[in-house]
Amino acid sequence: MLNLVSVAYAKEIKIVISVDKTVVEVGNHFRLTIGVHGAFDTDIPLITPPENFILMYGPSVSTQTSIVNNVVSVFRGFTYSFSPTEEGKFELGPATLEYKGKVYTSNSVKIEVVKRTPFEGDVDPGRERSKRIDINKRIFVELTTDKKEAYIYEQIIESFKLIFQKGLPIDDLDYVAASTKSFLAEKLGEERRYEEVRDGILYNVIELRTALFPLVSGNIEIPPAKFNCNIIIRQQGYSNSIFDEFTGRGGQRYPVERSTDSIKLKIKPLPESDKPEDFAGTVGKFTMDVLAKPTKVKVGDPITLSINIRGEGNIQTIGEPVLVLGDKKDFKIYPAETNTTITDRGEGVRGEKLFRKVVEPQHEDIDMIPAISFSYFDPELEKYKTITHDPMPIVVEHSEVEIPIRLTLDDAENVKGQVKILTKDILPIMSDLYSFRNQGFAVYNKPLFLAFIFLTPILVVIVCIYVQRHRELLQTDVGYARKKRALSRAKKQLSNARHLVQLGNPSEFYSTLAKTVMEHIADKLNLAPASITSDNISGILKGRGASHDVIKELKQCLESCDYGRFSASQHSKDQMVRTLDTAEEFIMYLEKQL
Amino acid sequence: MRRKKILIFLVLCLAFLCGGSVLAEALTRDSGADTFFRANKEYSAGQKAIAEKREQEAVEKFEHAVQLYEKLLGSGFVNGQIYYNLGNAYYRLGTSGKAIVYYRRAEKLLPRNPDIKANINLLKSDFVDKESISQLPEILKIVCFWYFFLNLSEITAITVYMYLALMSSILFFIFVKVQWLKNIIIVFASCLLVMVISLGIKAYSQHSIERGVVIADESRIRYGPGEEYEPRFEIHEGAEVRIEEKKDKWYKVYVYVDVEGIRDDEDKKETEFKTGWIPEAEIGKI
Repeated sequence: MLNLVSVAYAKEIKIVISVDKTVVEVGNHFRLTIGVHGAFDTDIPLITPPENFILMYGPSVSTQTSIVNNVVSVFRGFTYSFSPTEEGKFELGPATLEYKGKVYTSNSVKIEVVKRTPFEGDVDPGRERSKRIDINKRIFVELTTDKKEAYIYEQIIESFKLIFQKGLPIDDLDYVAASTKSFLAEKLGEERRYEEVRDGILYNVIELRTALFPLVSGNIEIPPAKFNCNIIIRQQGYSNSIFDEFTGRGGQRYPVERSTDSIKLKIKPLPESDKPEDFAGTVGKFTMDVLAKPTKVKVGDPITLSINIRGEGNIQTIGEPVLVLGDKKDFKIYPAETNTTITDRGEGVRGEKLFRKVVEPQHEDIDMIPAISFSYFDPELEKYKTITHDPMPIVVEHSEVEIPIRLTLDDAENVKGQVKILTKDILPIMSDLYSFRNQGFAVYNKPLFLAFIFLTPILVVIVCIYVQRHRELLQTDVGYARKKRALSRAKKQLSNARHLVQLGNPSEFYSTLAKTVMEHIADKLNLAPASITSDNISGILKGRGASHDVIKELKQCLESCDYGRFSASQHSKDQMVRTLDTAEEFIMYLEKQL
Repeated sequence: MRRKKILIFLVLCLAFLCGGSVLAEALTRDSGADTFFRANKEYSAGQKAIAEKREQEAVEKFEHAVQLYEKLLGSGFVNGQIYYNLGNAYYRLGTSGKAIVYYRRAEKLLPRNPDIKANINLLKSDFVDKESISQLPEILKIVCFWYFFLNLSEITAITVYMYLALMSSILFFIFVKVQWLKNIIIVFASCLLVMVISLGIKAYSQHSIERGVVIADESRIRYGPGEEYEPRFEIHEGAEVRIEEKKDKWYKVYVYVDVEGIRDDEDKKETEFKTGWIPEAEIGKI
């Protein structure tokens, strides 16, 4: 007898009777609960207890509401406490309930009433108490599978249950799962918690579920799963303070270790007969949807096929559906991209695998995307099934402008050589910013700059040649040197003469002036100064082309100088200055003429 | 004292002018580099889009890259890398003729870059018309390596430096008359002579001879400058020509492609046979 107390999806009303113990001593109490699932507004269920069961209290009513997966479950419990007065075996129930014109009947529970154990004063009360606790009956584990025989890759649901009596305080739960070496394991959702009545006793159940996909065929054994926990039992006479409750010292911990039985499974290989050619090892139940986009393209344009395989089984290992091509040259096909989604892990692994495949029609005569087929093995029907999606109409237009992007040269295949060139393509762009400068500023485009660059050194060289030549002549040619230095020397002497005018020394002034003129003529004509006299000077100058007036003027100037040097009469400053100016003019004239 | 002040003023003016010029060049370079970097980024995005089969997006990216490169060139910033990258972008957009135009421009500025030659050769192997450009002897390329190794600016710069070196040597020789300096002057003078000749040939071939590339898919070479003249023969995208004359919107060109029957017609010279008129719009000037 197995009645679930918590029925999450219950839509009808259920009544369940449970007790806290099935063996009771005479005079002791036991609790009986009548649980009503599915309605709040019911009357108290009717139960007729045996006559030798004294009702101690009750019914105390409790209500409970739970929401699981958005489904509301309601529960109402009516708890009674009975005390039997006679030994024997009794049956409690069934209870009945009339609700909205319908009568609902519960299960019944068997109670064994035994003789009361007399109290022995010298017995350790804790030990005596522990004797009475039959822990094995209060907590146990189970490992089950939903089937004992399965095909390879077929989904098997393994369920591990921890069952413990309601209200039993357990702690430090440690679950060691069974080894699943020969299986691909996929955990199914979170742990489930519910209540269950077994032999009239209410138990709490924690269930862990796993989907197993066998990878090998033959007789495979799932080894036992192990479970450890501590049961906290409050001792009589033990401190019952709030502080102890708070710190968890309110009882003694009894370690409990449980292990399940192993499970033997028979895994059958997939049948070889009628196996489709495109079968890729997918086992389960599946459907297929196909969507092609766009359906109007030009030659060479891509069409994306979205093939969605949806169903129950191992979603990860679903093989790629096959495109049934007539001529392989009709389409250029690219490898598919996949995306796997598990949509449900409740009652088994359910989900979908999306294959995105790009195909490119190669000529405009194509009007259909070929059929797509997908094969799988259905373990329930025990045969292979093939889903075929019909060819889909498409419109392929002529591409007037050939694809503007050029990747390769068409004749790349014709290249011969030891290593076959796969593609021919241009080399990549340049991006060297270090040498990136404006090359537009070309020197050859700047005629003025070029003229400057070329003419300046020439001018410099010419000047240098001239200077060097001058220096050389000054050093080697005495006549040249005297001629070049004559003016500066004369100017210096004239300056001295001017100074003598200021000092008022006429004899010295006239003497210097005459000497200056004579020496200047000697320098310019490269003659010895002594060889020039007042008498022969006019002949010399005439020979060099000097005009008659100049010679005459010079003669007058020299006579004035002689007169000034040797006469004792007074000479005015004005007269001296005039004579100086005349000499100066004569020297400048000679500088130009000679 | 006054002379000294004038000298300082002149030095400062010169420093300011030079500094300003360098700063302006640096600013232009930074701005140009920024645009160049963005254009390269667009090109790379286009390349990536091709690989991922997003062809429409790739076309948009390449077109944007072309716009940026053209903008950079329009601003007066000229560089061989821009021409080369622009050639690549035009090739990706399916206009090989324009690609050749820009590769040739890039080649003028970057004569040592092997990538440009590789791309030109690759594109030419795909063109319809067979070229008949006479190749220079390999020995000539080795002997006159500098001519093929350097661009016009570099040859000009070397010529200027050579000239300055020669003049400096002469200056020294004016003041210090030693025999070895005389030998140096002879060496420099000889090099300068070679460089001047190279410069002259290079400048003439690049600036006096106009070249172009057919950028239309097909182009008819006509007997005269106008549609009313009969077509002589047909050449295709990528064919290179020498522009000899311009009249209205027509170019008189000499084509560097093989023309059928040219050997059979003994009466006509090859030059005469390969010459004709082509619309200006169908030629991209190098």
